Amino acid sequence: MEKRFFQIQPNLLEINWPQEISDEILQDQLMYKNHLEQHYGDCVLEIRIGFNSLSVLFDQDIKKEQWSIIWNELENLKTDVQHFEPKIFKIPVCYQGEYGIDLENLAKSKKLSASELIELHSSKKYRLFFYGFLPGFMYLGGLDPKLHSPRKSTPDLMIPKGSVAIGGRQTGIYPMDSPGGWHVVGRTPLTLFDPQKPIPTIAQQGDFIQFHQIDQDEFKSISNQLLTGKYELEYA
Amino acid sequence: MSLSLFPTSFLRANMNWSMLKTTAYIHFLKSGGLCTIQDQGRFGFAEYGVPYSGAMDQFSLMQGNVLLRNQKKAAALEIGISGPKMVFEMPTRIVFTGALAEIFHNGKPIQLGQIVNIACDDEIKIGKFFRGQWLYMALEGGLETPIFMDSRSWYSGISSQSRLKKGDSICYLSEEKYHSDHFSHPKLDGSWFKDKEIEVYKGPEWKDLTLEQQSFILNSEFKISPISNRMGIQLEGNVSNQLKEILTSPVYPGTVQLTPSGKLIVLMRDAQVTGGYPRVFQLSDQAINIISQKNFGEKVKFSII
Repeated sequence: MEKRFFQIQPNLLEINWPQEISDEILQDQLMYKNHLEQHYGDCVLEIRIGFNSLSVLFDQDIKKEQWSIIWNELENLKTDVQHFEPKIFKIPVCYQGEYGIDLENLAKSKKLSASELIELHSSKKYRLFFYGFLPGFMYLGGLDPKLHSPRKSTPDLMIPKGSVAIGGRQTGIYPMDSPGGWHVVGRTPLTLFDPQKPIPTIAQQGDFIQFHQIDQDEFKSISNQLLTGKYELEYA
Repeated sequence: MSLSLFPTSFLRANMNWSMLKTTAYIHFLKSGGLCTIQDQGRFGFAEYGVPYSGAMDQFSLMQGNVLLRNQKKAAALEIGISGPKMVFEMPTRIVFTGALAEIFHNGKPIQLGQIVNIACDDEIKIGKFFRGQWLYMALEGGLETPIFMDSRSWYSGISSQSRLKKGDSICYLSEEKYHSDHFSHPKLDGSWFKDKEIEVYKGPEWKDLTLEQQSFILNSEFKISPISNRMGIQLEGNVSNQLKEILTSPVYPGTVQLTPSGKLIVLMRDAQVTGGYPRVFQLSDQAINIISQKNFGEKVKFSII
């Protein structure tokens, strides 16, 4: 796969892959990130990942000669060097009533029944590519093309925390109350971003998210279990 | 035993130390337009989608902290648009930096850069802003608001507060120290953010623009639009744009995006960590501070470093 790099400012570089969303690119990115953290952790302040880009912020200006050494190492990394075993997190979602406020309309526009839409949405595994937009907001790949759907022309002023929504070619979960233009199809009782925790999120880049349907009673009981600390998130 | 780790001499020294400082509060009688607590920012959490936040004008924040010999990471009050009114419980020292504004200490005007000795029950009132957007009030030792993800900077969804309200109280440590009044102080007149020119590096998608678009952007002056906040500053004027949106990619404070409708947006401290619009420029660190202080309607011109 062809890769290019671009120096944005003396201490900030970006690596670009072809314009596509793929697991292959993600695997490369995680391998690069791992290498940079392992070998240049002292001078790498931060690494950010987009669908086909990875940017590296250094704590000092990086000269051409220094970067060409690093670039050469990255280009020669072997895919099998890294053993990343993604987890699959099962996220409970209630698609009923007020929780899935746009479900009926979206289903109608797609000429699907509500249960067909739920089935399509909850039968797939979604790959977590990276976090962006809001703290703890997951960019997930793998939405069934039948559910692709343009964003609302006028965004909603307040989409409640935990809302599971569809926008464009993506599905996602609002980790906190936020304005947004996506179609809300359900809600999870889980907290997906907790700034009080050392690692504030549940899943890591490369992991999978799968939604499983719960009803309103289960939503309540999981909410209660979360309060008393008895809920255990399922993952494989 | 664990006790042996802390010899009594250490404990005593530590207790004396803490007895010198008393917890005190600043009470806000008026909240002002947009007041928040800000420090250098929240670094190291971008991989979870957490923005840096931090003072819009890091240069002025640093000046305030240097004048008070504070640590670099000390938090200050950031005051935007219009002024709050506040009362201090206990003695401390403060200094104002950044925007040019009317500042009154118990009714008497004070200057930017002047270290002000605060006594019990003293009042500070901020009036009109003359030039600049953000005024900073640094306090000796820094403000003692709670730390969230290694930073005291306020950001909705991370910190427990996101915007100062009337009736709020902000914590600091008061220290009984004798200070003589300072009569001489640096003259801060805001001239450093007067310059029209904004220094930029080329962004990753700059090369995708046509030569005509590039020269149009470099030869035009853009007005600061009122659609501006801690997340970003929109510029007025249209750039003809045929560029497609890009796949969501990293963005930073200082990234200049070109929207499908041809508007330029300069991302600022609270900007999200990724974006989908082509990135035409990246502002230098000091250029971010300069543009943060530009008033609505002021003109800027980009120049590539």
